[in-house]
Order: sequence, then structure tokens, then C-alpha cells
Amino acid sequence: MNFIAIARKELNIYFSTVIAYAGFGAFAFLMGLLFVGQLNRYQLSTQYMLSRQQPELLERLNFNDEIITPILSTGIWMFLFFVPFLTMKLFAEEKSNRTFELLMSAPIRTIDLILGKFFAVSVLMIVMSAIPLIFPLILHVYGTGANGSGVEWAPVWSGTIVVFLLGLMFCSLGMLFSSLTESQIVAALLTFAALLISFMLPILATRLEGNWRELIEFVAPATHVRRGLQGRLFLEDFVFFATTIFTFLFLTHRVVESHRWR
Amino acid sequence: MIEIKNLTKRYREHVAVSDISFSVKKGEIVGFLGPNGAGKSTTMRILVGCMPATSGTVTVDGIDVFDSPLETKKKIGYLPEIPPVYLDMTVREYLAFVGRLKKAGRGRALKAEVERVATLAGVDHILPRLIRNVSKGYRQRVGLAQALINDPEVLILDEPTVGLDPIQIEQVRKLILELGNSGRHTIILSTHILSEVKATCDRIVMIAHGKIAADAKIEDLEREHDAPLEQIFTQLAMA
Repeated sequence: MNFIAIARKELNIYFSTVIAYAGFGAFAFLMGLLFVGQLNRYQLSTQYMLSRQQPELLERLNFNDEIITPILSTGIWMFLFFVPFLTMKLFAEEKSNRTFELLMSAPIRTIDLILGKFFAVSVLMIVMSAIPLIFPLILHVYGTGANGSGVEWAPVWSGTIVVFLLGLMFCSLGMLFSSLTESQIVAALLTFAALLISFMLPILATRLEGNWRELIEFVAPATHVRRGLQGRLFLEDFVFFATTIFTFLFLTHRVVESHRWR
Repeated sequence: MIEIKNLTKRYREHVAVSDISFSVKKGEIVGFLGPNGAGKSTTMRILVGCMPATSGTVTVDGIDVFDSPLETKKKIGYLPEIPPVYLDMTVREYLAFVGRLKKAGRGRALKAEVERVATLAGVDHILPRLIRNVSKGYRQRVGLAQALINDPEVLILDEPTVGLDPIQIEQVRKLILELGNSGRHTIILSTHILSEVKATCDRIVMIAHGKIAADAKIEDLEREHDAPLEQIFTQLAMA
């Protein structure tokens, strides 16, 4: 149970400094802008459809497809900035401040160290992925859709779950890069580059054909979030996230452990 | 208590420590002497399990440091050269964190242990302060307090009085002497301040260019060379 001591320490530092608040605040603010923008668009299209007297088109204008899903699928692009910001310090700071020696000389296993740190960022990710829930809640309380319907909650939950899993996977990658270097800036930059490439994969896939296309599409994280955002949870997607998170945690373990025999 | 046999550490081509052997008996205070860059810190880091050796063996209380690191780490309190403190934690939070790592109990027991080591190291009056806001001397002593958690049998102190003012140096030396004289603690402290060695240590192990240059009681060494420790140190270090 040693990982709890590590997790507590990480969370203590995240929440006693400005890091967590700056991250959450900026994320909430940007998501809010997205929400307002999307809401405006929704109103405009409603007015347009009403003026055209086409009730069957109006029928399609529901909160989920027109507001919530677009916000979330644009919102995950923000992880590109927020995940490196949150994970860069995990190991790099310990090394540059020489507190790494304390951890290495303490009677704890490497696995506890890694799970503790991962657990701490998971808590941050829970908060990050819960922040956008405020928008469906606002719509639920104050709004009625153009077709008279409200918010459908099932896709909101499934969307939140895949966004959370995606965030976790990015965090495990960020932690790996942080374990590779002593410099937080380098860790953040490498994480950012890797995440950017992962976001670009679907574009690459469109230029390929056959097996290659399928492969690239499969390893692109976006593929595994899309269905969840639409309200469909697939075991395949869970397996994808679980496998990648496990792989990155395992690699981090090897990197940290290598300090013991290098 | 501590047995170092044929220890060698190489960083690529550079040999930091070359084939050194010495042992420390239970209850002894040994001064680990040597000029800067002689391999003192490297040896200590290997001893506490922070770093592996290229070859050789190290045992603490008969247990091999490389085979059962978790066992030996429980017996050791370690103060690295740079105190391993988190600037964004308060002294109390920091000591409690180390206490949890070392399984020094929880709740009231943990709190009592934190207060005990803080009093020993003279930082009990700054417990609620952020480490970022305390002076270098205090950070050093918070590092020392951390090493004392769980009353470890072995204390490895890498330049424990660096950055302290003369009064604090005196206090820390007194503390080291008290811990040593209690007979329960085995202490290795590294330094290049010779007066410190004279004031606290039973014996010195001197290391120069990665090799053992001397291993004897201070009086014996001075008698043998017929010169004060300062002169012997310069001779051996230059040799």
C-alpha cells in the first residue's frame, strides 16, 4: 500500500501549488468558450430551420449531436497542452531537485512509486473529464431542444468515460517522457510532440489504403474515442486504452528501474 | 554492521571508486574523508542502494544491499549531499511523507515520530513553514530529521554540516555524538572539514582518487605519521 504515500504527496503538491488550479481553471475557461460558441451556432441553426418551415430538419437538432459531442471532441485537443503541463514534473522534477535520491533510498518498490504517481494524475484526470459535465447540466436545467427534447444522458456518460480513458493514456505517456529526462521543459515538449503525432494519425490514414490504413486507424486514439462520444462503448476500445496505458507504465517502470543498475 | 568488499564503480571510462574495502562495526562513528571528487558520495550512494556497483559487494547487518535492497533500506537513514526536500511542502508534511514511506506508523504515532525527529534536528519550531521559505541551514536540518525517522540502526550522512552557521554546526555535531554514543547507531559521515572529524569520529577512512588512502583511528594515524591530521590529509590527497 506504499503507493498511497506517493499519491498523497503528489496530490498535496499539485493542490498546494498553483498547478492543479491553473490547469483546471484554464481548461474550464476554454471549454466554456467552446460551449458558448456551440450554443450560438445551435440557436442560429434553429432559427434558420424555423424560417425554412422544415420540421423534419428541426427534428435532428438535438443537444447531444449539436452541442455536447462537438464540445467533447474539440475539447480532447486541449489535452495536447494540458497533459504535458500536468505530467512534466512527475519524475523530471524529482531528478533535478535531487529528491529522487530520497525515493531511491527509501524502502519502497519501483512499482509503488509509479502506481502512486499514476494514481495522482488519475485523480487530476477525473476532475478534468468531469469539468465538461457542467454543460449538459446547464442544458438540462435551463434548456429545451428545438424539437422539445432535453439532454440524453447515456452518450454524455459514455463520452465522459472515453475522454477520461484517453486522458489517462496520455498521462501515462507523459509520465514515461518525464522519467526519461531531468528537464521538465524537455519532458513537456516530447509529450506534446508525441500527442500531436497521435492526433495526426487519422489524417495520415486517409492517405493510405488497405492494411496500412486499418493499422494506422486502429492505433490512432481518436478512433477509440469516436464511438464513445457517439454513445457506443466497445470492449475493443477499452482493451486499446488498457493495453496502451499498461505498456507506457511498464516502460516507465523499466526506465526508473534502470537507475538501479546503470 | 557494514561490510564493503572490493567495491568498484565505473561511469563509462571514468573510474569513480576503485576496489575499495572497509568495514564499520556496530556503534562506531566513522569519518569518511577525502578531497572533492574522490568518490565519497558515490560510495555512500551505493551503500544506501541508490546506485548499483560495477563490482564488489556491500552488506548491511549481514544482508546484501543488491540482493535485498528493501531489507537494508529499512535499516538505513540517509542524508544526501543536497537535502532531498520538496520546496512546496511544509516541514511537517514533508516529514510525515517520509514517515509514511518508511512505515513509521500512522495517525498519532506518525505525528509523534515527526515531532521526535524534528526536535532532535532542531526544526520543531518551523514545522508549519513551507520548506521553500526556510534558510539553507534549516533545509539541511530538515534533511537530517528525515534521515532520523524510524530511528535507523545505520546513518549515512553526506556532508551533514554544509551550509550551517557555527552554532548550528555545533548542535549537529553534538547530535551526531549523542546518537553515536548511545551505541545503537552506526554512523558514516563524509566531510572534508577535518576539525569535524576530530570532534565527532572514532575512526577515519580516507579516500583519494577512488582508492582507500588510510583507514585508522585518528590518534594512531597522527602517531604513525608524526604529523597533525591536516598535514596527513594533504599528503595523502596529493599522493
